[in-house]
Amino acid sequence: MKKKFKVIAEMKKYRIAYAFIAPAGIGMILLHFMPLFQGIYMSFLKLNQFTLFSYLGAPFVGLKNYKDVLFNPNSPVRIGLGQAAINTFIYAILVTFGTIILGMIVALMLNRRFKGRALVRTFFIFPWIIPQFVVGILWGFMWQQQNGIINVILYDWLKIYKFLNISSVKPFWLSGDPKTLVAIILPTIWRGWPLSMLMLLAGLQNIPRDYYEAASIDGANGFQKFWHITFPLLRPVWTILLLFGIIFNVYSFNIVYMMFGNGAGFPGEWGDLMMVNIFRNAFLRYDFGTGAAVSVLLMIVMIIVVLFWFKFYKKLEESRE
Amino acid sequence: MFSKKELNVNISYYQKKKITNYIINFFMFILLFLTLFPIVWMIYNAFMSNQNISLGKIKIGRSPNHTIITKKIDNDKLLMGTSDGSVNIFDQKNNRLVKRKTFKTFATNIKPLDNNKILISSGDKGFFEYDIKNGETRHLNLSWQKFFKETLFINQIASTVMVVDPKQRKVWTTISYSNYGNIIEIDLDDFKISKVININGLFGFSYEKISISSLEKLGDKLFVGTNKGILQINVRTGVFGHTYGEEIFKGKDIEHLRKITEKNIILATDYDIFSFDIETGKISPIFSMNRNSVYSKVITALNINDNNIFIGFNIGFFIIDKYGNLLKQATGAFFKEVDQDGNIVGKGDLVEGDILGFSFISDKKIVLESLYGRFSIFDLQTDKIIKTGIITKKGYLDFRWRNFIDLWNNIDFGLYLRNSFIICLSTMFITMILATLTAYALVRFPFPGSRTMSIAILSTQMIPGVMFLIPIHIMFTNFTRVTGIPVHGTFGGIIFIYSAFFLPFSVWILRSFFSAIPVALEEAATIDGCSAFQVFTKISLPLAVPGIIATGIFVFLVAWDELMFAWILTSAETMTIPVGIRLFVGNFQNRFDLMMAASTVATIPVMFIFFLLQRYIVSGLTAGAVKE
Repeated sequence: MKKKFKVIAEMKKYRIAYAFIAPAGIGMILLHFMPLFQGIYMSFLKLNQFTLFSYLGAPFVGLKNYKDVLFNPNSPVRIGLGQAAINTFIYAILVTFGTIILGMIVALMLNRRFKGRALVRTFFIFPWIIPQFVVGILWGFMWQQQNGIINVILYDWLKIYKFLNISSVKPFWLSGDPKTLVAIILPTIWRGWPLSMLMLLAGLQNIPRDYYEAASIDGANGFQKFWHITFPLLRPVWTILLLFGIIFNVYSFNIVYMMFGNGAGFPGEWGDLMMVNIFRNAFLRYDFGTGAAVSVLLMIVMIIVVLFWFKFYKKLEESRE
Repeated sequence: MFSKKELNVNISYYQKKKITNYIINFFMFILLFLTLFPIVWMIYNAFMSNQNISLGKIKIGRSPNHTIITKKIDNDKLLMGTSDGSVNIFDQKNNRLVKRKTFKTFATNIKPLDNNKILISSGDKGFFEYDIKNGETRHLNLSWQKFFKETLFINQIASTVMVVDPKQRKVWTTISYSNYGNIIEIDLDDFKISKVININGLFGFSYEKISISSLEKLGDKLFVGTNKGILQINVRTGVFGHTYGEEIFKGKDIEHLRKITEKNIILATDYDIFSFDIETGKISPIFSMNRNSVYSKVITALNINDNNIFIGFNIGFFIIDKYGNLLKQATGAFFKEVDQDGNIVGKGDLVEGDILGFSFISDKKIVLESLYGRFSIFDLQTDKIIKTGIITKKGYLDFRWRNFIDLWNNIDFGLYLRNSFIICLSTMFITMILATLTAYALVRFPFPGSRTMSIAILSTQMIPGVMFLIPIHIMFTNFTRVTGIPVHGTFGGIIFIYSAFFLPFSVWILRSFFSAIPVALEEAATIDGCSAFQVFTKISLPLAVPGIIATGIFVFLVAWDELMFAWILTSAETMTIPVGIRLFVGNFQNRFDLMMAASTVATIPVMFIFFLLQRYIVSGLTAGAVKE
């Protein structure tokens, strides 16, 4: 009893705090948690264009949507879904590690003293300012078969087919074969790495120089210094980048959706990502029930990933102490 | 003092460091180049013509397009016009280009007026008169928008046609090829438009638009070749005469009209040649490319000299007389081999090429004209090529602002830009007000439930956007159905969604800024008698301004970039830039120039904001990294 009163008294004391968070709290409940629970409930309904108006009163089908998604290979939901999951997995991993590694390399390069460093840093941030939908269009334009600048540079100017002993026919990057995955990973890394670079650079500038001086007196070479000083001290930065990189890239949508300008936005077998797949499934096929089921499954997977990340993070913390 | 050995070691150590630095710098600048290249490429292509982009002529030095007129001016000099509006004077003797004037026009037609002056009509820049001797240029801007108060889609311009009357000093020309039946009469003395003749509705079916594909003038009568037949107009009185051949030319463009005598006109469709008697109005076929199955080729050029008709096709030409008897046929390799950029390849071997025009420089010699500025002089007596050449001088950088004008005309880009600004700025303000309050409360007050709130804020980032999208879409639809208030496709609806959607992230960034403000400051203010709210507005808020600006810009950037929600939840009136561009990409897949122009315009506001507030953005983004 006493404890309860204490809580109420505390709440009264922090009246102003509740006034401050009330609008945000209401907004989040309205547009984050209500839709979330509705979405979870929707995944148990047969919700298509015929039952859309009755919305939550649509026929309840239990776990049928989940069964369709997971175990029924003939269901229309399954078209391209497995491949999209594989693509998303490869895409998220490669993009996340690509941005961090590239960001680390450039951050180390910029963490020296030379003339015009601020200017160079500004130029390096440029790709990150380009909106994602522009990145999609731009790289779609650059990946064209005959006159795309990438093929022109590789095949017409550098003539790489001579060194690699491959056919001199220019490849079509966006045709839906495994090359397409490369064609969507590279633009995403190009657009994403300046953010990692900035954060890693800020972390690098916080490392005291004495550590390196001490290490050089002990006779450590460049790589040893990086591996034993820089890398562990930057751990807070790269672990956060790892977590958010994975989350953002699994939920990546704009670049792929804009790059394939063929009306329906269907990027072919190897260019399909989960979000594009779900979007197409729900809004072009008007099958919201299974769409919600796939989203819920994806969310569960992501929660598991995040929990694993926390475990990994804790282990790292413990190993340090 | 150091011993000599030690000194050496030291020097080599610093030299080594210096060299490593050079190497690292080298790689850094390569990386910088690769990073910036796509952006430069985007902006560069935004200023290029789509024709050059789709032909792959993307280098700065570009060759002229195909030759469309040749005229002998001096003994050894030839005047040559190309379809991209360049006028070149070529010295036959030493195979060199003497003079060159470029007008950078599109869908060009060039006709000589007299010995010195030539006339240039174009689809995009209007009408020019150019004096070869003293280089004087007169320009008449024939803007389609100005004249007809209609938007001209540049896709529809294929070529302009033109006929010149040097005695009356008048020119009749068209601006566009495909959809509009307007002929413009230009008076060369005062260099103004004297008349606009509209021929729509004069053929059988009045609702069908007419495309004018050729013009010819005999006396006072102007003959107009269209896809419906021939029309005769008396240009002195302005009276429309008869139409001819509506049955024969149903749906076939009359591509060429040439007078052969004062009473006869030769006309050609893609495969057939007809003779047209203007007194009786009789049209009789005289020659067909289908007659001989080997030469079932499209007619690419037609010209008349000395009562003989010259017909060009893709590998050679025919000469027939006016009754259709074949006098000569010549096929073979007439032109130098060039690549798309106009560079000679294959050691100058001759190859076959489309013959796109004939010019007559003497009784025995004709000039054959072809693509990429190639031409050759053919001797009719010996049936041999005397000389073959190419206008070798490199071209120019075809830098055009026109793409941006077209962008504004073709798609409603101004509206999208306005919508995007309204939505993003409102979202930014609302989000920042709410996020500032929330972040401050979470940092400063250990109220019951603050931990739950923090976890809730972080966990929202794990929910896929599609998960919100479907229920919100249905919620909006049902809300409007029940209350009658439109939310689907209104600014209010999308701003509400965005504000709530970007709130957690903003709170998360802002927290680190508020926690960096020393608590002692606030305590001091409280002792001085400030209320909790006053402490917030007078102490904490001013100190957190850099962080608030950084977060606000971040919200603006993310809102500017948002496609999925906008795609579903905006209407035609509230469409934002990403949606507009996505629709545009779906409809105009081959208009790369406009796509790149649109991308550039969509990037410029963001770039501008970044430059203005760069310091805040960098500090805001890195704050989280340093604080940990």
